[in-house]
This record gives sequence, structure tokens and C-alpha cells, in this order.
Amino acid sequence: MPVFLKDQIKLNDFGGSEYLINALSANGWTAPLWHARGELFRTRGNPRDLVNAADFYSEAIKLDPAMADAYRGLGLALVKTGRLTDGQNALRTYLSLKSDAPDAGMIRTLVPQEVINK
Amino acid sequence: MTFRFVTHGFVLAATALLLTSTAAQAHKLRIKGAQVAVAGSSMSVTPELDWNSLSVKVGKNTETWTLDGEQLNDVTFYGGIPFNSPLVREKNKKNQPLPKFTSTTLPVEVPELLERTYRTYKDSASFQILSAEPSSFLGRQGVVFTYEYTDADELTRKGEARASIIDGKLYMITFEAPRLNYFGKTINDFRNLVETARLRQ
Repeated sequence: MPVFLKDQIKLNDFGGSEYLINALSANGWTAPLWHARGELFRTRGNPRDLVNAADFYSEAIKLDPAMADAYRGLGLALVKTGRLTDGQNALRTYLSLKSDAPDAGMIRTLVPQEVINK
Repeated sequence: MTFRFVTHGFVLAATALLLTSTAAQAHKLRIKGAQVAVAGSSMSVTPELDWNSLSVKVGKNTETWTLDGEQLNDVTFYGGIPFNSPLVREKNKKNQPLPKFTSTTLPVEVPELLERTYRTYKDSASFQILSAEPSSFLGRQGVVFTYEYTDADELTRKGEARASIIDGKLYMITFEAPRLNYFGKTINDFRNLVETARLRQ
């Protein structure tokens, strides 16, 4: 995700961030844009937002199956909406793609060892 | 007339100085060895050193301590942030809303919550989470995380925090100090303080 977009999303300006993402998607949606939209909705965190976020992360993964952070967001969104098994599988993929992630230790607490060993 | 004006001005200035001075000293000493409840909550600590508890609160459920001044070492207690509340007081709800701790927030997302809070509240353009590991805090599974940020004074600070979500409330203690010299100098004092943290049931 471009740094400026990453920073924008963390400003908690939902309307402004959504406008920016939509404007940038005028020439077509890319994996970083879908990911950014997923982050925006997941971090707002209303129940409906989490369902939308999971869809947006899935779109990012379709375009870039190696995008580790999209699996992280997808996994967290799914776990939070009660889709535990699907969420844990997504988090396992995140860990396999980015084993040195700063939050790898915390993510592992959400994934049972048998899922990691699959 | 001029003399009266000057005299009046002098009295006003002196009064303002006195008031400022009084405000600056309106902190409480937290004496070593004495258990004390913090942030108006059921969380308590027993400091091994004398700490200053500042009178200014950054939020409803918070309390800030320091050894040498909050710019040099800042320990902030978050004593049970309830659902749908920001970590700190919103300065401008309409134009600068802060992220909320919600019923769906996971412990792994607490570092993100602090980052997003600081980016707005402290106007921190640069914030980086350096690590996030599972850790016990207040007798529950929680998270210990480290971070660095630069805010308006352009000084890079390093931080370490411990947090747990207990009965739907977020409990957290953060420590921040300038990265150069000060962080390393007092981080162990913070860690010792955190080890004494307890939650009254």
C-alpha cells in the first residue's frame, strides 16, 4: 500500500479516506486499494464493517495472492465475525508469508498449533 | 493614570504567575512501597520509587506519572476503557474524531488502536510498531508491544506498553521517553512498576 494511503487510513477520517480510495480506483481497483479499503472498514469495526472488510481483503488477495497483510486483515475480520476456521486459515497464510512480522507472536495466539502445522 | 495601569498590569502578571506556578505543582507524590489505585479504577500499583502523578489527565479513565517530567519519561495508566470510547479525550469530535475501543477489538489490535489515536491526538506523522508479543498483564493473557513515534516537538520517542482486555474493558500502561538516552535509562523502572500492577476483583 502506498505510504500516503496507509497514513491517511490511520487518521480515522473515514469519509475522507473512502473518498480518496474511490478516487484512486477511477482507473481500476488494485490489490493495494482493496487492502486499504479493508483496513478502513476493519479498523472502524462496526459488525457490518467487518463483513465488508473481509470481502475487500478477499478482492485484494484475488489480485495479489502473495499480499501478506491482506491475509492478516482477512483473518482478523473473519475471526471477529465468528468465522473462526476460515479466519485461522487466513492468519496461518499470513504467518507463512511474513514469519518475521512484528506481530507474529500475537497472531500465533489466535491460530491453534494444529492449524499452523497443516 | 499610566502608573495605575502599569501597577494593575504588574498585579495581574504576578497573579497569573502564581496561578501557573500552583498549577504546575499540583501533582501528587506516589510514595515508594505504598500501594495506590490508579486512573480512578480498580487497577493498582506499588511503586519501588517515588513517582509524580500529574494533575492533568489525557482522558477520563487515565492517570499520568513521571519521574523527571512528562517530556522525559511518561507513564500513562488506562484504567478500564469501556466499549465505544476513545483512549483519550477527543479535542475535536467533529473534525478530529479518535478511534474507539469496541466490543470487537482484539488484543492484537490494541497497538493499532494506540497508533491511530496518536496520529490524530499527538499529530504524530511518524509512528511505527516495533513488536507485539503475548504477555500476561493483570493476571490475564494480554499483549506487550513496543513502538516509536515523533510528534510535534520532532523528538523521536520510544514506547513500551502492556495491555489486557478484562470483562469488556481495556487496561493498559504505556511508557514513553526520548529514544536517545532517556528510554534506556528508565525502562526498567517502568517494567518494575508494571510487575506490581494488580486488579481488585
